[in-house]
Amino acid sequence: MNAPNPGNWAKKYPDLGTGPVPVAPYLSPDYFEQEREKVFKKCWLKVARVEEIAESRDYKVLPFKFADAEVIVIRGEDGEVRSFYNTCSHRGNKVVWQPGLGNAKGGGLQCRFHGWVYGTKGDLLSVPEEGAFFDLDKESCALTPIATDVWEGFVFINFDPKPKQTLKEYLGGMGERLAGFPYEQFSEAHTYQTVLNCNWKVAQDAFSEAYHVTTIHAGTFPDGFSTELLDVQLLGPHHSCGVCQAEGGTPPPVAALSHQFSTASIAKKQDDSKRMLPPLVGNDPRHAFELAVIFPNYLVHILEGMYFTHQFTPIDVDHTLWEGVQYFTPPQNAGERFSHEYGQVLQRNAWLEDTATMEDTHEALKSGAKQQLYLQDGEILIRHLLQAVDDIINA
Amino acid sequence: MTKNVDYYAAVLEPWFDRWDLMTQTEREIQRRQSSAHQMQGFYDAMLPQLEGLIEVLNEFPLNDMPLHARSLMNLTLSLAEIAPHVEFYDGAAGVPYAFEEERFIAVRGDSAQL
Repeated sequence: MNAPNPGNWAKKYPDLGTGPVPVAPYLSPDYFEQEREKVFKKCWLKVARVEEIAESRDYKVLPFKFADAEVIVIRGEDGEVRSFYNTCSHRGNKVVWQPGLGNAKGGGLQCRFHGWVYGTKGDLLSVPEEGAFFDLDKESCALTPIATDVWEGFVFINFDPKPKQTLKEYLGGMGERLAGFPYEQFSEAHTYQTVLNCNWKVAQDAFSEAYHVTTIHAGTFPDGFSTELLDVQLLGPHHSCGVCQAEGGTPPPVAALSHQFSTASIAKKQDDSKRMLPPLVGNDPRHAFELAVIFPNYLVHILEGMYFTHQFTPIDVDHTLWEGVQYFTPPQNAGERFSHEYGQVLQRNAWLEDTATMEDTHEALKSGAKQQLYLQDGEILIRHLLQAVDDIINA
Repeated sequence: MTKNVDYYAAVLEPWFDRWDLMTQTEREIQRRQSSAHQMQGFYDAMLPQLEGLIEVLNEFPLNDMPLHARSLMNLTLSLAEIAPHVEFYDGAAGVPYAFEEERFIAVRGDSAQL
């Protein structure tokens, strides 16, 4: 195991301090209410990749329990992406009855309750028995819009009707740091979801340090990673660092064959001849992948040859919807398809190892046995997340 | 003898019954229900054939594979599913020290698309 120099990151970011951190923000319903109103209903939240809604009239519907909302994200005939509350202007039913992907064939989204039809700009196009209504002004009966913007092919929404910052302003230095990676090339997505019985920060913390790799991942990555972080960057409420490969270790036969057929695996040393990473990322030769967090809850990990993401969407103080996605280039042949499958199965298994810690941690904290947590230098991203949330709540 | 699809289909035919599975969800469930012995047997049969098999399958477009080629492709995907259990987890059918696997929902895991 590599023991990082103590105090590296604390020296770089002294304002965060080094003391223990309180348990209460992970468990308190009152604190969660503050997070709901001041963080999750005011920040830009990722909802889709443009590839999911590539064609005209394609839509994606997804739930946001913390906002008691379902959101329709839809590609207009004009190519623009817009979002709306999935609430019919007539009597409030859901316009689209199932979450997931679809296409508004025939030019509109039809509410099955009474057949009202909305266009891709949310405009109310037609009302059966319109004459039976009383001075119905269709223009004021459009679907209620939600602020929407796109960065590097990631679609974000903001539940604040008048967001204080544009998406670009919000992303700031993190947006610049991650821009230019060819995300759009990796359009083959392997996605996993589950509802976790823990606070969103307990889940996110488990993916925000490398201290656990030699213990939790002794099964899946026996020689793979170091506990040392590279180049920790705190950029406003966002943060990023590099995760290191460890030296040594020979991949076993099937692992080696999968590497041979494709570059798409975090467990393989990359070939730098066709550099994809943005200029500020991955300049240390030991860099395996970048761990970047777009505040509050969207983790983007980029490396040469693929990228993967995690999102932790709160349901309530004790429950979180997790989605993990691995993005590969569309496979061109059987060898690539096999290699992608091996890579995504292996990564899924590592996520199973990570996820095993979360509900137990939450349950054990709920006992009230502990009031504070101790964080080492390499757990600075956990410290920073807590501080960034707290700063907003107390602003 | 030319090592073509018919050759590999003949060599690997004993494994079709168990491992010629069209969807990821089916392959995961099958792996969880397998003994170490079953996974090792499949692994030992596939490993020496894999490189040559991939070379032959590479000739076909992924979205338009003839029947036996598609079955052989499914075998390679099943191998990907079980290989970590043979190579890393000492034959355990589940991932050791892991979250409940049935709760990890593979979105579009029931799709037969390659």
